[in-house]
Amino acid sequence: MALYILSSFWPLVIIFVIMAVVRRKRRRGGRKGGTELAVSREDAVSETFLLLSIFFLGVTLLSLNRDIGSPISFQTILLLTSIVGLALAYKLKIVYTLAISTMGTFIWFVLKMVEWTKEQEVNTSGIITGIALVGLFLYLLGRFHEKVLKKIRFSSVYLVFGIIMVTFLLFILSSRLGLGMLEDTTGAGSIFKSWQVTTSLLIVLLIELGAAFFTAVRKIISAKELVAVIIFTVLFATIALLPEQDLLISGGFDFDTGAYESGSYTSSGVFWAVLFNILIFFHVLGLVFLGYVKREKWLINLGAAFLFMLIIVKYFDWFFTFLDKSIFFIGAGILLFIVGWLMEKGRRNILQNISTPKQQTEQILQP
Amino acid sequence: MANKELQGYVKESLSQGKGKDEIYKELLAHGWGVDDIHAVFEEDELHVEDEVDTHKKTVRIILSTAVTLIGAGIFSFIAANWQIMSRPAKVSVILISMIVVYAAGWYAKYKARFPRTGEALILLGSIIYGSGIFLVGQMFNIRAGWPDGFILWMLGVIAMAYASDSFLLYYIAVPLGAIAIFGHPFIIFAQFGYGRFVLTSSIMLIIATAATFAAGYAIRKKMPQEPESNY
Repeated sequence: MALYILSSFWPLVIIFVIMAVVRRKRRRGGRKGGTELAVSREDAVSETFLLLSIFFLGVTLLSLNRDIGSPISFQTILLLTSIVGLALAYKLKIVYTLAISTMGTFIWFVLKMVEWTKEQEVNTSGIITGIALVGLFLYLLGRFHEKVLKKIRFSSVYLVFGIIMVTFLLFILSSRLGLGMLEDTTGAGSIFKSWQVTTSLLIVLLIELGAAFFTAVRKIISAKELVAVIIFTVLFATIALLPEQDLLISGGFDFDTGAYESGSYTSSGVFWAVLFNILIFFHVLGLVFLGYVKREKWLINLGAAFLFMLIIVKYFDWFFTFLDKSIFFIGAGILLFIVGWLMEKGRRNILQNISTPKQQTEQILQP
Repeated sequence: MANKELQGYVKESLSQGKGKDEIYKELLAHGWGVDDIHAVFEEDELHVEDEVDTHKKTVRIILSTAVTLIGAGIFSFIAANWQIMSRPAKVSVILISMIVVYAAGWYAKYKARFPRTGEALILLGSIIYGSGIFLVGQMFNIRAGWPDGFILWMLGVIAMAYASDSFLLYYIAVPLGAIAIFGHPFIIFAQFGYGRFVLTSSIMLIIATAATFAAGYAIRKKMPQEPESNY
């Protein structure tokens, strides 16, 4: 079933691509930049067909594999298809296939990690580490494509994936649900019991650190970005090495008081909760700030969207069980108004500051 | 906003058959600025473009409605008379209607110079072709997975899109391919899926891979070269 879900998400991506093409068509005549999904109608259609051919290749391999008695695993077919997709993307300079093939390779990595951790009965926290390290590496790869290879649209793909992966993990881990998951992932044995998990994590870590120092030395990323990357690397690498954790105290019906009590945190639970919450706030604010410094509007918009989601999620996470429901919902409404107003104002100011020098130049040129 | 007086003069001059250069010279001699004159011409051209665009859209909407109605009519006719028709009659209805519509589309697009009407007819032909695949499959109880029908449909539409250089047909081919991609894993992962010993699906999938790649590659080759920085 899981295999089917994984293989059938493709058409959704195609629908997304078609919608993007339609949107692009409506906006035709606008600025051509790194976040544009296609540079022309021909580009969009040819990219879509080449992406379809990669999907068909994957399904063909699955079908042929079934015909000869399934000697190859689903994961291997996914990897093969993704490698072909990546090669094709670079050869023909196609962005949609690059995005899907990158996603395919990432899914293959996660599936293999799940398989190895289950087989060897080791901590699944290594999977969290793997996802984060891959995300950080993709971010650095994106910056490398942007500055050195001058492939702006390719860089956008890597940057967006990298940022989303790390942000998503921090989002999850900063919640009670995420801490519960983290607790569960540390229940089994050390990751060193599985040579596959240890080796793959070590390889990803070395590649990611190598990329971080290379990009820092070549001044592709700023010192602040390097510090953020190293902090995240250390944090997520530590997660893989954690011994069994006891983070949550489960709640339930208290017979003495006759009330339903929500669960609380142990001392180490409080430590992780505070750490992850501080990190996610600084990470999201950092994205907006980075967008402002680098004059990248898409990064400001992405950061603003994450900030909005973060505030809403945290409000629910922290106050849902605390407050009377009517006060909770009224409070949520007021909070939304304030957040919306502040975000609109803040975003407008930042974007205005970004576009000011260009507008000034245009004014000077006019008689 | 361009000066009304200037706009009126430009329109009058153009209607008198004067050239753009001539009008520019006259107005410059009378002390008007280049930017003002340029703005008038630009606004005028934009109005013409807008009118042309609206006209094209209206024609397209009317023709799309026509295609939908005729398509629905053909389907309901076949559905209503399906049981009483003999097999040769059924195949004949499908084949003849498809060929006639395609031929009319080709004539309208390339001979009579009605490109939008022609494209609409070719689209109608593609719909008849697709429905024909499933009707023939049902008529002869062909043992194959249902997504194969969509692959065949997509292949026909791609071929026609390439032949008639129609982006509309390329757009239609994409969801058809997506349905096939979505449908095949159902059969592949189903434990007791039918057609386990029929290799047609795999062959069809190989052809679909090659065809979609070829279509994408061919369009890409025709594309004007974009600057390296765009990537």
